[in-house]
Amino acid sequence: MDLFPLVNSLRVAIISTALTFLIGIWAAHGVTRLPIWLKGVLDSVLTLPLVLPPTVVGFFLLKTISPKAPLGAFFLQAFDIKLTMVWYSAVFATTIVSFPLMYRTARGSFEQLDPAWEACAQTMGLRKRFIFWRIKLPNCKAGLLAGTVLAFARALGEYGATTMVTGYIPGRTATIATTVYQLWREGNDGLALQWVMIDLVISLAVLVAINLLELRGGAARARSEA
Amino acid sequence: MRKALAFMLVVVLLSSIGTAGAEDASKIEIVVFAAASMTEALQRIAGQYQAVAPNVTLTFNFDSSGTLQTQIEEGAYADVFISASQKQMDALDASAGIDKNPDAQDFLLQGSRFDLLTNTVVLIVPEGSDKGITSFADAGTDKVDLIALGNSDVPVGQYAQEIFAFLGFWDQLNTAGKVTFASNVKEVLSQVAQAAVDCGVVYVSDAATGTGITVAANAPAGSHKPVNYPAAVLSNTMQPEAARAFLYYLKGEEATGVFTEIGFAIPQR
Amino acid sequence: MLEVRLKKQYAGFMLNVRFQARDEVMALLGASGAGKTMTLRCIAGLVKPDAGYIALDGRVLFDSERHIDIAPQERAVGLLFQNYALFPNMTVRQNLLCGLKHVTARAERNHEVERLLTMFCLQGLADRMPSQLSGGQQQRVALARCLARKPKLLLLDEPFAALDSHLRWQLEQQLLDTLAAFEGTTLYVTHDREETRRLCQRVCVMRGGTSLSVMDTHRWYHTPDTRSAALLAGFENVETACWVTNGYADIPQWGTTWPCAKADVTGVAFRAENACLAGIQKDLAIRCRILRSSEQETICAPLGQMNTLLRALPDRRFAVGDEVWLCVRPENAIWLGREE
Repeated sequence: MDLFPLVNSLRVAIISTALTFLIGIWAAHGVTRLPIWLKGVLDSVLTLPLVLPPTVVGFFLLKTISPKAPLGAFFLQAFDIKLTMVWYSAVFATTIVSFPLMYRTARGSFEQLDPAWEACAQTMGLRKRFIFWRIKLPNCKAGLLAGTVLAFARALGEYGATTMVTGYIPGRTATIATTVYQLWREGNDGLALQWVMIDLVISLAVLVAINLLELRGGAARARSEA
Repeated sequence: MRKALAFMLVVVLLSSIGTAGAEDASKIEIVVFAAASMTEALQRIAGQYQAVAPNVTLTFNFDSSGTLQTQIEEGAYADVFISASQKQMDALDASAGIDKNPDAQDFLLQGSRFDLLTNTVVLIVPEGSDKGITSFADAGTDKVDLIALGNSDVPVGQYAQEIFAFLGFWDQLNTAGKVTFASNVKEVLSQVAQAAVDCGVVYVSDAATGTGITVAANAPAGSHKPVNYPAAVLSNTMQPEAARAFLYYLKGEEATGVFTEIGFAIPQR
Repeated sequence: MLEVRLKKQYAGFMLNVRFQARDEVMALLGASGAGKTMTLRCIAGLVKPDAGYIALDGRVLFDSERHIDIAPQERAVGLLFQNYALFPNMTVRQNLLCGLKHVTARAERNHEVERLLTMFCLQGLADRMPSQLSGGQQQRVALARCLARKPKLLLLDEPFAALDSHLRWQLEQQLLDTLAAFEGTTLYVTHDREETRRLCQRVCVMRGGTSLSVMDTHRWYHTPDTRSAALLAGFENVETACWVTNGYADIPQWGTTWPCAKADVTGVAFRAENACLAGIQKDLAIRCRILRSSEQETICAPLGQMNTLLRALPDRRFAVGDEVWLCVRPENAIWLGREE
């Protein structure tokens, strides 16, 4: 059995989760410091991919990174790099659709922080960078972990936008989700089911691992407060 | 307020009953499942058919023949089925023999099946493409990095596979990872038009209606089985006369005119 | 020396504060919502006033006219929050080290931490997390952290508000020692007048967002100059008064007229502990009837003004219903002026 879809799905999901983690936290932290009216507007825009059907996201992506579209044409001419029909096209799609999950969870975490900490730290002469990395982030660990799990799960399960930008090239761009679809279309239910089971096992493994981490974190906290 | 609501409810109920009855009396709806490549042709013909049989409403479901076959098997209602290859029609035809119809399904109204159209398989490239692709054989060279084909559930995909096997490099195409498989013909057209792929294989009838693409070559002679579009009335139909009448119209001069204009051909019957 | 003049409009509230403080502990005294905390935040640089001027030891921290607004990091101001704001993800030692970032040598930093731990009796707690400390310990850590950076101005926001009263006395003594050793100005925000009297040298009373004039605590406690100051100082008997003729003021609610030298008088006040009962009129007196008599105090009402209550020293010689003279020595009757 050709395991490329498994490798590709995992690689795409891990890369896009890493990207979402970084960009999501940066955006969430940035938004909390904006005036209220701007906050509302940006919040809606950044949460949009959560509400839009993935095919709509795929449509907008194609209009941007297709070889004849502005960004796609630029990369093709300037760097001879294709943005669609390659394995990393899926990374664009999955990052966009899973971004809101990380962003909203991170924002919730930041807003729950006690504002007195930042105020106090400022009067103590601590700079923004220190405050962010050593005071804010460590106190958001639980929330950020939850967001990462959600983002990873969403990335692993992405189909609609992915299939529109990567097509289905066995051995080059196939993911578990697109493979299952194609196998079902060709009437190969047996193989399709095998892939479904693999996907279930991975998803369960990831969720169980994260739950264990959360439990351990909770136990450590309980011990320290005893 | 409540009285107004009750009144509105009664009006709605009465009118729905009324129109249901009226439909039985004069309006007939024919549900046509047809291969995606016939979309433009059949829509134009539907416009013409309005003048011929004004009491008949044609409702179309265009998709790949494989999907339509599955839907019929799963119990979807249709009066007429027009497939883009014999394979899907055979699978539903009780008289097709055990190797073509392994589950011995019987969905067709016997005696209503005939070959409606034939089509030509062509190689298309994005408009303005400068890769110098002029024949099917070019797909086996470096000129082509990526080619879009329908998957094995799509008739034109099956023909493409036949053609490249005939030309001797189907396996190489696959191992080199040069093929991206699409779920239907429209997807292939769209990917070629976007220049996301270097070329694609579709029917000439699709190429005629697609934008942003150019036909680069016809399939070499003898490289694939003839493309036949069988049509039949389904056994579940509730208005066999109207269904037969529509299929008869499709064989007629007006409909033929539309088909040939788009690029289909009429087989010997 | 701290000089503050600021105005800020926020949430339908107008803050208008103006005072100067020397090297001392000065109270910002006022009821909740009087704008005290907002004033502290403006001085610390966490909030920008709409207009004003703040200078510390001659260094301008904020000047709206010259567009100077120094960041809180650079102001050398220490702010102790009501809930202490200890960083929950760091140990006591790490919290203290946060305040010592300006010390570059590691050995010196550790030495400072040890010194602070000793000074605030926190030995042995260095590696505990804030959630493992008692309220009093948390307060000491917060104070130590505040002082680690050797600020020139210390801002304390109701430091004992979060503690049980039986803990307070001990901590107060400690705080007194700390503040005495601190070389700089301390602003002490509170709504508790006894705290003010015990810990602060001068008082700035705040009412409805406006600061009234700064007074020596002793003077404020014993001779307040306005009605609100008198009430805040805990005077139990405060009433309006009006200058009638040369040398006299009429106090209608008490049904009496007392000699008064202050021409622009608007009120009068005296403490219950300075009011005694007598059978004959002496000193400044009010004729009243006793309403309630207990071991702590006597409550009576002026004849003819049964709704006005007066509080006086307890006196078992008289019973409820008796008519007596409530007497106050002239030096204990404080004449009040107009609010600013």
